[in-house]
Amino acid sequence: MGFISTVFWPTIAVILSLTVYSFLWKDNFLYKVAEHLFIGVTVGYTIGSAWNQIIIPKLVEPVIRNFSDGKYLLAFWLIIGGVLGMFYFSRFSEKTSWLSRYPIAITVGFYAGYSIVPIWISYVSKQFHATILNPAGEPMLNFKLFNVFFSNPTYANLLKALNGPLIVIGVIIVLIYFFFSFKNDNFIIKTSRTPALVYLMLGFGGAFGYTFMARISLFIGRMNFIFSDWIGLIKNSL
Amino acid sequence: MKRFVYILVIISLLFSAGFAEEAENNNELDFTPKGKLEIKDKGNDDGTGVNVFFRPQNKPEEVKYYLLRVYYKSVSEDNLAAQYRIENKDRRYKFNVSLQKRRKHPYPNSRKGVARVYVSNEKGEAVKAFLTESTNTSASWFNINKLSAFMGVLLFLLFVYIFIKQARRGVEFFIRKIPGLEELDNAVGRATELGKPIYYIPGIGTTSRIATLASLNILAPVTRKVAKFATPLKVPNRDPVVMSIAQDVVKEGYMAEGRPDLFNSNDVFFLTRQQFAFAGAVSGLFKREKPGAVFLLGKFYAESLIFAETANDVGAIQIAGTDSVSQIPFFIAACDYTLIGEELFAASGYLSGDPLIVGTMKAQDYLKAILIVLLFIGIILNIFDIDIITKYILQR
Repeated sequence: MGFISTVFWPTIAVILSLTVYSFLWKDNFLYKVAEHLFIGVTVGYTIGSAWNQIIIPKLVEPVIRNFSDGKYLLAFWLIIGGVLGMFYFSRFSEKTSWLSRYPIAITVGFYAGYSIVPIWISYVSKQFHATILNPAGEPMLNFKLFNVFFSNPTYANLLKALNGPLIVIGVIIVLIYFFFSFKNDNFIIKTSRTPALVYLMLGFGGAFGYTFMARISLFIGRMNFIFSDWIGLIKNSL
Repeated sequence: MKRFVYILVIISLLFSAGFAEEAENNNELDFTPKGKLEIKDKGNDDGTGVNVFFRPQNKPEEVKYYLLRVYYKSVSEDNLAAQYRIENKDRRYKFNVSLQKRRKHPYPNSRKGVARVYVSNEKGEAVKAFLTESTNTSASWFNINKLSAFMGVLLFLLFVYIFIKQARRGVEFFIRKIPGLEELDNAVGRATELGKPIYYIPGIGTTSRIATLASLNILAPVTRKVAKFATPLKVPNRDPVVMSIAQDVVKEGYMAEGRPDLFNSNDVFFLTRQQFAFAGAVSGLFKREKPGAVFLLGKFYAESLIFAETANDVGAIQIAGTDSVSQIPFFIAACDYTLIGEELFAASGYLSGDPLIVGTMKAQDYLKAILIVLLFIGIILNIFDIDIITKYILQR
């Protein structure tokens, strides 16, 4: 048992890692094996988990329990959900495939409606609030900070004074950039376009660097697994 | 007689032990623990929240630590919802406690919360309970704190209604050019000239993601353009529901162009739900089939660069778009054209000219204009310490 868990499976993991990396060289037979194995396993796992975590505990068991408890209305409600879900199978026939539109319509309609208020709160209200006030509850356009900078002109005070105005200006011009009702040669659109793109690219550049470092960290983790945990070539992890 | 003496000795020993224990307790607490405890229904929720306030009234030299325990229904270890160790800093403490945490039966209409404060020792153990308060909580029909969100959504829906009605009446609304979409015809044409298929990836989001729905809206006009040239269109999917919708969208697109014969349901297919298995499979397909054009439109996560880089490697012209801020940089770096954020939502209206979508876009622009005005007013008022906008309209 120890051999299986400490040598066999880690070796399989290393081989699969290397076969996936071989894609960087070119598409090859080993990569295809790893790819199909990965897809097959995940599809099988999805079916298993849907059966064991959704269909049985959320549908079959509650229906049986509610029937035995005499709560027929609750059981009926669940059965309606189950039947609607089974309408997806109607896609196998041309004649009945229209039935599958009902569960799709319910799912799409529910999520579209459900996400309106959370999106308003998290993407609109909170973001605008944070553009007006900083987390400490002070105005983002705080001219007192400029007085502080002019009385004590340090780099830290300059940053503090500029931070709020830069964010406020950035939010406004980027919002203007995403107006679609005006022509591109409109004066406001035209003048705000370049600074808005500069703001956007600065933000994207920061996000790119941050995410790239996270990817490098993942790569180092895999290398540590191969060269340190598995083969023991490197004593100290990277 | 002897037996009587023994009984007397045992009783006296028991008594002395009892007195000794009491004396020990008195040694531990040679003061009276005092404090003010309040427990109130949080309100504006499903009846699961309570606010607990505690103000110690002993000096920190007397009691350094208190232990606050909040129970559901009654004081019992099984009903413990939360506990907090409080260091006595001579101030009022406030705790938001959810009574939901340990409940198996969700969302009862009404419940009871009990708060009890103990004097605590250095180890964090409860030494002596000295205050207990309780309250009944109830579920609210309406969350007043979200009134501004409700009003905002109502206003938006009003705009949507007005503009859709106008668009249906035949009023033409202007939508500015979106550079990435201007290249759509070129991308389809190039793939046709090369005799290679076109791949359309609607992201890896489910139908709960607005970006996925926007992508499916864009798929319709893309299919119609593809149908004109009879170029093979392939749509790999990660989500079965999205796949079902995509199949219908593609089918309708071909039918709208009078080419139902070109539709093959196997071209809109499911791969797997696992993110990186899907990424690996799509990359493999790109390498093997070498598409002439690739559309990456929808909700993308960490796999975005895998798609974009592989498609770039095989020389496909790529038009990408997502609202995932952290993935846009990768698309900008690796794709030919990128729809940034809201451009993805605007794209479907721009391409289709559907009054429903165009009207919605117009409503969005009007709402944005109102929000910018509110932002200006809020910024100016807050400079003078007037917080009407941030307190009542644009809440945190």
